[in-house]
Amino acid sequence: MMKKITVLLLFSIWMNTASSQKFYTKSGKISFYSSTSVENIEATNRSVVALLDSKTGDMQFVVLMKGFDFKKALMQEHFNQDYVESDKFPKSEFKGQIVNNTDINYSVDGTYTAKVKGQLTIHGQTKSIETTGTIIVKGGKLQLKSVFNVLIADYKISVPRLYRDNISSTIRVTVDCSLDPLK
Amino acid sequence: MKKKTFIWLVILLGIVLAALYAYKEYTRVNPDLSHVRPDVKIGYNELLDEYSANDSLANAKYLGKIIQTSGPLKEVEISGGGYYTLILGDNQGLSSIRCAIDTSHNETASQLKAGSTIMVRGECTGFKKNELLGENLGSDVELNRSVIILQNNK
Repeated sequence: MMKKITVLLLFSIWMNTASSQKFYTKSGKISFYSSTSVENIEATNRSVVALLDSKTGDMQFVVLMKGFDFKKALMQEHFNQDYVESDKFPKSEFKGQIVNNTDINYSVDGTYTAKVKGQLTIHGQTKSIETTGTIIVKGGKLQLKSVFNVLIADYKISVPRLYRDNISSTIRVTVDCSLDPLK
Repeated sequence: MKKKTFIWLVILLGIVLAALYAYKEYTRVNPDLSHVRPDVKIGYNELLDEYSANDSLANAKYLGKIIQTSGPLKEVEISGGGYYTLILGDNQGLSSIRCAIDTSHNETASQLKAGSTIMVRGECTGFKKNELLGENLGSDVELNRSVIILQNNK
């Protein structure tokens, strides 16, 4: 009897630890994509810092704007100097919460849909956003995936008239981050 | 040759040269940093100290610059798709210099072992204090498109 109680107690402690754990990465991936009839532009940043508290569903992502890699150097220079003004606003950040966090069982491997709400700051401008994403729980690690659109006008990013046909007013953002448990 | 024809030829040549320059600029890719002279040579701890003391001031000096630094290799990270990040710093400290490796230098990065001393060159993309949701994940200076200049395996 005593043995059973001990096992049960240990199991409940393990369950509680597993479900209240924080997960993080410093090498998450965020890319964005602009598509127009003139050209498609894509850039990727693989040094995203992200943290998720599985107990509360709180999450935060931080990215350095100069860390976005473009295929063409000229585009990268225009992006940093003229559009997002990386010297003035070196970071972008998302801080929010998984609103259906109770639907996600972080202790059981599986694919879960997450509804996320929060504040996205780019170019010094903060806007509320809502999106859905996927959380894949596997072997004690998490993979967070989401695709959503942002309007560049919302973040006061102005594009010179000469390049208006080259850059879409709506940018598709793709998030793909593998998070390890925080020890 | 008539003067008018000569002027037209000069204009045409100008247009061709301008078009060639524009095409070259449009298709230009970021250079391999092993062939680029560094803007700054600095020790890893000095760079970390400057950023920790005042990141705005340090950004004014180093952001976007090609930095060459050396220090102890704390860890070699490999993320999905085979992207290497070399982490320079003391094992005891939380702060590091994270060097995202230019993928054309993956082979060199794959041979590195933690504990060795290395010299890297990369573009400084800034500093993150990494205090997220009340957790201190350690501050990092980030270098992008990094290449390994020297290595001393222990």
